[in-house]
Order: sequence, then structure tokens, then C-alpha cells
Amino acid sequence: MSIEPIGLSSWITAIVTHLETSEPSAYARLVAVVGARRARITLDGDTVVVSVVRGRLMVLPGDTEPVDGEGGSSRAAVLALLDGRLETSIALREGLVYARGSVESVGRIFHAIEIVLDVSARSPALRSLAAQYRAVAPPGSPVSGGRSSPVGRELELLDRLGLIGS
Amino acid sequence: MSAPLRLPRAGDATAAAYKEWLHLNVFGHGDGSVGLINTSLHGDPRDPRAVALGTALFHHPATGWHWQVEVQPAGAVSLGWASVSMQTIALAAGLPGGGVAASVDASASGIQARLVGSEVVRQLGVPGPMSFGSGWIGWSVAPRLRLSGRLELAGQAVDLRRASGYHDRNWGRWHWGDDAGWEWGAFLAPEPAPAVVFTRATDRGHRRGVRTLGVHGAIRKMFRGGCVTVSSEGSFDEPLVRIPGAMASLHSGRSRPALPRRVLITAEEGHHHLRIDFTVRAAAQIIAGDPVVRGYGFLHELVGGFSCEGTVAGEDLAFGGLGVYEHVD
Repeated sequence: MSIEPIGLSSWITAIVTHLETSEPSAYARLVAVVGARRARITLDGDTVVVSVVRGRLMVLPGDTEPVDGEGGSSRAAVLALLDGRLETSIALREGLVYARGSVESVGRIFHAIEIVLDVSARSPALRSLAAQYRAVAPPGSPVSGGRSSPVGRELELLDRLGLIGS
Repeated sequence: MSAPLRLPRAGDATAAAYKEWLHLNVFGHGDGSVGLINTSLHGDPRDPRAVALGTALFHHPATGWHWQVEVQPAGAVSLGWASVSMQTIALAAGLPGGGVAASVDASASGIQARLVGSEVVRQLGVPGPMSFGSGWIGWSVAPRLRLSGRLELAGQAVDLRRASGYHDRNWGRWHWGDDAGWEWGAFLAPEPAPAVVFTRATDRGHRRGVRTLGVHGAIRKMFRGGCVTVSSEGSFDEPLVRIPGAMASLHSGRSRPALPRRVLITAEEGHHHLRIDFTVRAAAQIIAGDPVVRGYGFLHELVGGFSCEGTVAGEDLAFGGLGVYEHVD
């Protein structure tokens, strides 16, 4: 019987632990991608900072300063993404998922997420964790609560990068 | 299709690449709904990494796509003689008379199904296995089933008295991400029209591979090789349903694949000739991640309507109905 993580810090710690156990090489890539940078992650107002400390990926208090980038979303948006009801490009366009920082930092935040998603295809433990996350409470309300949508030049940039869905 | 699951035996050095598929298509001629229910096994079920995947995917002209995806460790699902039963999706083949039973319990997704399919056209063993990616693939097909039971999409019952069913099975050894792909289409009009089934196992770039087009009904004819040609027109640019969502997020670069708006399949052999004209109404992308090696396959399901005309075995054919065209890379 697994213990259900409580709070964003516990969820991220569980993801990192399962990732390292499932595919140590992927964990090493994740550590390399994060490097010496710090990212502030927010989910529905629950905020933590993620960084590598003494060679290990750690979750730090949300008010840790300074950070190189930040990103966030809502539980509703994450569930919609997991269920295939929301495309990443739409989530970005609508501000339901956001990332801020230098191009380098934002790129590394998304690279780190991709490593986790990729390993989840081969890791029963990560898939089980996703099922637990879904089971904590039903999706409930439709996707909402995103930050302000990107506008003007941001939309032009997303369009140029092919990140805006039709 | 009275064969058990082809589970790998102990000591099978290729067991990690094991794949097996039980598949049922439903064509609701009354309301135009088209869909599939399948259960599949990926990897040696004794390996904790192995996965069972259940998918129910239906398109209704009025309410759009409805889908349910269930992913479980292969060792945690119930495997029968020729069945895979998961929490929300189950499919059993090899019922007496070659029939199939399927169930979907996913009211939150708008799908409720208790279906039994009985063979109208006798099952067909396809010569094989065929080379496929790093391994091989086997295939058997029951081209037309008569359906009974109950199917509801978004609370609306599909009239199964005016529906056609199709069932096939795949099994073999390959890894998703191999240099492999396939094209497949099932085109069914109401009885007594024959079921028309197209298939081609190919490489990921779809550059080689033998095409077959089978006519299965009161008249039967199999076209093979160079006498079968496929062409496409237009571009299907509407948003796709892409599942599972985590894999769709990982592969956001595949959110707008090059899919056709119209597919034309022709076959000519001596005095036999046939032409299928299939128009795509909606499309979905199922992303299969290999549980053992890092690799992915992209299964595009295109649903729509078709017309068919030609002459086979001296009989003129002209009919239309509903179809599914699948493009895998």
C-alpha cells in the first residue's frame, strides 16, 4: 500500500524518487538539465522551488531566492492534459500552463518535464503515481484559473514556433 | 477466430517485444457513429514493466469524439483464454461460433457498451507472420459481425439492428519506435453488401510493403500487390483527439500530422476492379509508448463515409457506408 503524497512538495519528491528508481540514466539527465538553476513551481497556489543541491534534485521552500525561472498550472489543467482533453499548445496560449524566465531557463523547465513524461511510458511506479493524483479528487470544475493569457508579441512568437494549435 | 492469447512462453528470448491486440469496430449506419474498442498487451506480462492498454474511441456526428483510455500493469489485469479484462474495458474473442464480447463502463466519458458480435462472414487467417520492424506480426480477421447488446454514446443508444461490426486480432514481436508502420482500412455498408478490408504492413516512412484489398461477403476476392493502389487528396486540418494525454503532451510536435481529407483505393486484376472513395470526417491519434525500450508509435484513426463501386467475379457492386482508415507510423 502506497502512501499518498500531500502537497506539491510531496508530489514532486515522489516523482523524482520514482524517476531515479525506474531509470537512473534519466534521473542523471534530469540533474544535468536542471544544473545549478532554480525554478519556482506553482500549482493552485502551492509553491515550491526545485534545484540541484549537492548533486541531488531537491525541493526547497517556495520563497527561496533567487530563481532562474518559474512555471505553474492548476490541478484542473494538469488533469485535462493527462486525460487528453487539453493540448499543450492550447494550455500555453490560454495561460493555463505558463513558464517565465530566460529562453534558456524556460527551455530547461520544459526539457525536465519531457524527461518525466518520457520515463512514465516505461515506469509502472510513475503511472501509478499519476493514477493516485487523479484519484485524490475528481477533476470537478472545467479547466479554469489560468494566469493572464499571452498577448501580442507572445502570440506571434508561439505562432512562429508552431506552438499554437489550429 | 478460435485461438487463445499468444502469450510468450517461459524462456522465450523475444518475450520483451511481445504485443497482442483484440479489436472490435462498430459502424452505426443509423446515426453515423463509428468507433473502436480494443484491449492490448505490450511486453511480457511477467515483466512488471509490461502494460495492458484498453481503448474505447467513438465518433458521433452530433456529439463528436468520446473516449476512454485505461492503462494498467499487464500483470494486474485479468487474462482469459482469449480475453483481456480491465476495470472499465474488456474484450473477449473466441466465443462459440467465433464471436466477440466487449464491454465499456465509462459513463464519465460518455460510453457505455455491452456488445456481442457474431460472425456473419467467416473468419480469415491471413498468411503470415510477416516481417515487422525488429520482429514480426500476425493477423486474423472476422470482416463482418452482427452486433447485439447495447451501446450508448452520451446517453443516446446506438441502434445495433442497423450497425455492422468488424473484429481482428494482431500478435507478434516488435517494439514501438521500430522502423515499422501499417495502413489499414475497414469499409462496411449495411448487409448484404460485402465488407471491404484494406491492409499494408510497411516501414515507418511507408515506402514499401505489399497492399491487399479483400472483399468479404457473398462474393469473396483478395487483391494483392501492385494491382492495389492508394492515393490521397486534400489535408485534414481539424484538431485531433490525442490520447493518452501524457503522451500527447510529450509529443506536442505531432499534434498536426499530415493526414488526408480523402483516400482513394483502387484494385484492378483482370476483369475484376474495385474503387473505394473514403472521405474523412474526424481523426484521432493514439500514441503507444513501448514499456521496455524508449520508442513510440503513432496510430491515426480516421473515420468517415465511403462509396464503393466496381465489378468483382462478374457482379457489379455499388454501395456506400462507414469506414475507418488507420495510418500508423
